[in-house]
Amino acid sequence: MEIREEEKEEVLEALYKLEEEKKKATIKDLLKEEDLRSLSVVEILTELALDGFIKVEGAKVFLLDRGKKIGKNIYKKHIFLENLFSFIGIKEEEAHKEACKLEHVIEEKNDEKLEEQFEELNEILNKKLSPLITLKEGESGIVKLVRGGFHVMKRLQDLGVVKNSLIKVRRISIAGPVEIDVKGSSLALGRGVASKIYVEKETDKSENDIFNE
Amino acid sequence: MNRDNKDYDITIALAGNANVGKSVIFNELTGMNQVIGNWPGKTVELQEGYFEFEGKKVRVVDLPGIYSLSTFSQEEVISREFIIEGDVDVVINIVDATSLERNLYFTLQLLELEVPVVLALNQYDLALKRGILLNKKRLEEILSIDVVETVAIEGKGIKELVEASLKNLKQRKRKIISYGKEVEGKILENSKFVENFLSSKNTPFYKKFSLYPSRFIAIKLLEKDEEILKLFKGTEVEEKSKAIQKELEEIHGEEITTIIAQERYSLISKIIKEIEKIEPKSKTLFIDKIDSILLNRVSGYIFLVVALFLIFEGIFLFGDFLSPILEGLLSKLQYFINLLPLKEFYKEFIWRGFFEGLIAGITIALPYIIPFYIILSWLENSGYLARIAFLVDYIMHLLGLHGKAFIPILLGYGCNVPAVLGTRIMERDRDRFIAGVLATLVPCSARTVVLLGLTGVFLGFQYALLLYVLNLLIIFITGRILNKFLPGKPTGLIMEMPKLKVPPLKLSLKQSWFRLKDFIFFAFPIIIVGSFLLYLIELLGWNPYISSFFAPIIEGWLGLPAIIGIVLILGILRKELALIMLAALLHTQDFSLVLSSRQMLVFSFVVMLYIPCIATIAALKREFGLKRAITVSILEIVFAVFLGGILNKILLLLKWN
Repeated sequence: MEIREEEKEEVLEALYKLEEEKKKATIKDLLKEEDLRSLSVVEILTELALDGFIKVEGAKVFLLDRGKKIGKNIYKKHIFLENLFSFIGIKEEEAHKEACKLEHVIEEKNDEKLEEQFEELNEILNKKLSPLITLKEGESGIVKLVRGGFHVMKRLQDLGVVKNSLIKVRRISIAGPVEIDVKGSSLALGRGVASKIYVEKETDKSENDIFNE
Repeated sequence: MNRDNKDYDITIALAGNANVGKSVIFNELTGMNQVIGNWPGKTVELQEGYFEFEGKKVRVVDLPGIYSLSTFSQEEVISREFIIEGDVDVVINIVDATSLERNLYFTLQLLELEVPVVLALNQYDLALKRGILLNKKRLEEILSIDVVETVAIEGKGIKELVEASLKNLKQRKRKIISYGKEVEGKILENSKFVENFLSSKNTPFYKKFSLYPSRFIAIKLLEKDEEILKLFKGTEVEEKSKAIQKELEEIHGEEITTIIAQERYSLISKIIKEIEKIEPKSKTLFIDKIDSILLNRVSGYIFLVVALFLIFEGIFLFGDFLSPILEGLLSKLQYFINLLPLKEFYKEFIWRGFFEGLIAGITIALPYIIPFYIILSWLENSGYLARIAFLVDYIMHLLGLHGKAFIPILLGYGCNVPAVLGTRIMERDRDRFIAGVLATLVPCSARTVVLLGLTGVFLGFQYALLLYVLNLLIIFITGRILNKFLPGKPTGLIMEMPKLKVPPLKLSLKQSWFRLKDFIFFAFPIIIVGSFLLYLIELLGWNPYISSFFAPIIEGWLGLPAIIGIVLILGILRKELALIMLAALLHTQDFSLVLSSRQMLVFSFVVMLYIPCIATIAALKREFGLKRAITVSILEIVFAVFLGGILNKILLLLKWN
């Protein structure tokens, strides 16, 4: 039976993931992998080894450079897609399955700018960054990303909301705007504006921040 | 703003963010010696005043409160142009000592212009109260400009400020405050390029640039400043700037305007670290406690509703009390006119053609507008208006506007003219236009006279209230429709929340006086001309023609007596007269004898909605241009008549007579 490209990629991805987790991958580990259940793993490994993507030593399996490159790529796409799906409200399990299918389909681009935005999105989707609107009263965060038109961005910059500024949420009105402290002054931001400012939440730092009087 | 025949020796410009006490300093400097001027062709106000100091006449120009010197708003463009091209001898940059970090962002840009600058550290007392200690000496050293501590509200430091300013006239030589090495290097590279380019061009077009420092041009080019980019379009300067932008963007991995903004802020935080010390205060300031009550999601709204109710109640009580007294006094003037040695016809011509309009302006508009202006100015200075905008932002958002639009619309209940002019507080043309249109739909005091005098008196207060509710509903729907069909997108609220304070009443009285003067000069000629036209039409006997021409609409569609057509048409000239005209035409004050309840309701409804008056149309023209003023006027008339007819049909169907 012909082995499909996707199946090979799937195995390389699983291997990459295992290596990232600092585990020495064995054939047994791979057979245990949920995502590879339906595949004939041994056959695929044989073919990958023959093509120079991996090396098999006894029960252990290593990725070679060529294989690592592909595995990493697929893995990145997978994370991105899975984040994206769960971000828009799809259930975790479902999101994982969809990502598994789509990761082999999306075109690979060698555009640096795209890569960067990809990273930015990943950061947001990974919930490392939260929209300002999700912060509670009294919480603070560091601005990491401001989306929106040139004018909005410029106006926010003039008023002190720029990447790496420390923002503290002073007040949230019902359905209305948010009042924040930034650069020693307070601003009122409409909900729409506040949902386009992404911050990295400050956790225990609030005690020695400058806004506490 | 022409200096050819100048009658002053020195020009000082006041510049700074909004809400830093700029207007207080302006008033301290100039007293009652001021005029509101409009920058030619723009709708930005520039206040100008004079004072004498050591035998010299000093002109002070109060620039609008701005946060930056880019060109994203007219205020910023004008301020920049004025500082450079307006022959300014020294700029006083007023900063709020309680939020120096944000304020210095503007200061750094001002210094990029390489003009003589003196810094006023205003609200110094409040900073101390908040435990903020500032090292003035060190700040002077770092910025290499003079710094004066002021408490403008108490008049403290004003004299020192004047002395420092006059000492610094034309002090252009100063050390340049450099940004980080990398960015500064690129700025210099671009600046050299611009300099070489400009010195190779000798055309008058590029001559203007000799006033602008090349470093400033270089920075603005990198910041993608629209105005300056336009001037260098297609030249090698544009290419060079783009190349540098790209280089910097690649190094930093950020967009270029962000890089430069970050550069300024990081410089500022270094400065702040050196000059500012904060002694944490354990207890919350009293004013901050009040602030939490005013902005609380329950008590804030309760307070807002109560405050608005009291303000309106107060204004209408005051107006209703003062208006008849003024009218009684002014109508005595007729006695003096009758004493003039003129033929009866001329006496009547003078009285009805001129004085009636003038008196109407004084008795109808002023008693309501004066308290409105004073209260509004006080609320504005106290910082409460910004809090109102914060509280109502959500509601205004449903209309495609943001919280700030509430203020001009609120003003509309007093008079639509200042309401339309007041839309200037919004940044974007689209927002201003929607707010302006909605403001004209608000029943002003003249229309309130009709609503209460006809519907309120003859049908009962609840029907007048019903009309007000209908009006709010119509404003709401119109807002949504405009928002949907006008090009562009609604903008979100981005507004500074000034610190709450108790402002001096004196300042509000002064500001109201100047605004009132502006209103009188703008609106009174129009009211008087309108009144004259009204008289002329009557004199020429055109009334029957007008009423028969519009009979199909008035009788057929609205179900009103044909003669009312005259009242509606002429009401555009003088709306508050609608009721008096109606009485004159129907030969009775008791409208219930000649009009059915249905007719009264329909009439009040149409009067409430169709374009307020000729002065409002003129205000629309001043703010939005002739074309839009005419379109709005016509649409509103059609709209009011259309809805009035529908109301008529509904009432007929309900057999409500």
